[in-house]
Amino acid sequence: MHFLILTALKAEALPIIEVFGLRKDSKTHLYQNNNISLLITGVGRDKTKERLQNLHQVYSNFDQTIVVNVGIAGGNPHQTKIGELYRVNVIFDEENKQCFIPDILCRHPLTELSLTTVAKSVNKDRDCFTGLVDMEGSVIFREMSRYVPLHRLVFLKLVSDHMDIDDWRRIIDVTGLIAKQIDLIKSILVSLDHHVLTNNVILSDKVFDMIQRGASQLSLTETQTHQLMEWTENYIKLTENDLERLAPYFIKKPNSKKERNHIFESIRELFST
Amino acid sequence: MSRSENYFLPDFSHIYLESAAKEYEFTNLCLDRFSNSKVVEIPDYKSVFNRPGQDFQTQKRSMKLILAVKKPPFIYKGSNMLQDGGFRNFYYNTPILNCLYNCDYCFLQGMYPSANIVVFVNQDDMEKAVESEIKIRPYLDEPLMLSISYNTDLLAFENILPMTRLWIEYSKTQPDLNLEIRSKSTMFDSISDIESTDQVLLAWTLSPEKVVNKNELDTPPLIKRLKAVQKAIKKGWRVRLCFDPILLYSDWEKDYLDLLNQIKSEISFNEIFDITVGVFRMGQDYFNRIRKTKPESKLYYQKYINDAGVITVSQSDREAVEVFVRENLSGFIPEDRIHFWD
Ligand code: SF4
Repeated sequence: MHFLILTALKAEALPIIEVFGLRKDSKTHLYQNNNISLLITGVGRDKTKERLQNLHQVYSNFDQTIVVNVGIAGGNPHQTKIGELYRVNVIFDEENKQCFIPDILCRHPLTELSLTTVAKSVNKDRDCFTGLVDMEGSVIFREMSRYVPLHRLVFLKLVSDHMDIDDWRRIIDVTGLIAKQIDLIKSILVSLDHHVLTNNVILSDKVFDMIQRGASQLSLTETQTHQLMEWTENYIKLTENDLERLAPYFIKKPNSKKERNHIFESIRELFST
Repeated sequence: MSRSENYFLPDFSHIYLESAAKEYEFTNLCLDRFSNSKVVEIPDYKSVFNRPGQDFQTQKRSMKLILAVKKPPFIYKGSNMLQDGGFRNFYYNTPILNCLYNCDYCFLQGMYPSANIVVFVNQDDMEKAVESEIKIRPYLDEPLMLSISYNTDLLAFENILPMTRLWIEYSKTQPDLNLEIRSKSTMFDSISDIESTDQVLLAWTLSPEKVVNKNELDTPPLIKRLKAVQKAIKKGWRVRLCFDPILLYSDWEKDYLDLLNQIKSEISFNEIFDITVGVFRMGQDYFNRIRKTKPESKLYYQKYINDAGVITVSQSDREAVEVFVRENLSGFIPEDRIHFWD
């Protein structure tokens, strides 16, 4: 599996960068090493949304990616301890009253709590909020659930305060708080790393490319290309044979639609035998 | 134990509780039964069940329970996918959405975006709807036949919630109501103390052991289903046998012949109420939705015809199945007690 870690602050990211030996790619602004990438989104809805909406330009391996949001959060004083790490099982968006639920399918060692995403830091009426409070969670859920299924969205929140400070910038040692839990964070990532979570794939990249190139060589329509993909999948699933017999059909560029359709029919016959 | 077995949380590790479903009897029973589960309160069950981005088969490895209050409609007219078994006032309802089992041919994978199980806790509302429908059923000289296990295997759920028991007891208060309870489970023991009634048809789906192992994941073995059938007959219940779907693969005839012979040796067909037979079939939308997820099962990569929006095997294969079943059951059960899906 690949992990895409999202933090709001550089201060949250530093212990992660260090423990995984990540290096910044100056083009993409992603910190990377092997199967771990990290993106700093900035604080608040708007910045987070903007960064995540552009993410596809620099990151594409979503079929095999688990997205992990790691960050500090305010905690209800009766339910949380400062410095403790929690797993989020439901996110309420205070602004639009929507509720977002990640799928927690795999075992983990953390206490689970709800998270409310607010627009401004909370320092009064704190008892109105159960569980945890942050400023990005719901946006991350909404944006990232376009790319990965809900069981590959993980929210880890570390309680930095009991909603008793008026500005998150006054939280003195964010890096230190995360650093104290970095081994736990790392062990959670290691425990999630299992191939059963990846998307099902039938056509390897190589076969997929061959079909794409073949379809373009034959000038197939979109529907024909789709059909060809489907036949290839059927063929692979049912026969487990390789596709060498298909290659000769892709050599010659047809001179007319009629010829193209003729080749296409021959491929259909090949697959049906 | 392989790593994946230990990797996933047990089923029902989480219970999503719709706020309106608090304080119902079924809710309390479930919360007591799964007292170690994490309970997450939600405004509406659809906010969990209908989320985009769920992965049905991965969720099957750790199913969650959703407790909700059903809103109307509480009862539906039978569709052409369902076998009415000769009952003209044929209806179904959905006390539970989704199933503890995971048959690869099951349409639920295409019907629902989620593999999580929804239990509707407002049994009273469903019963009232049945009473209203009984009064306006089209054929007043025949009972209303209600399939209560259409979108689930209700009997398999019996040691979690006694819903089958409640529906059977309820049917006894409604002389014009018949129930069909279709199952692959062996949970007959949990209702065997109830006095049998002709208003209830207990239906078991039977498949060759090879199909059970390969296509009916997590279901009880054939031999145990047969034991449940025997016990139900002995206790005086009306029992229907379902060979549905009969799956076609090379040598299917041999496996299904062995199955019929095994049944003939263990059960007297005189005591069987009737038999239903069908082939693989699925609405094209559901089929396409499942196919998009690139399922493991080879069933979704075979050749089918599209018969007015229904993906199914060719007419000649359907006829072959019919001929096969008629030939091999001839002399054991009258022809008019075998119903074919067509
Ligand atoms: S037992 Fe029936 S409802 Fe359950 S998975 Fe199998 S086919 Fe579907």
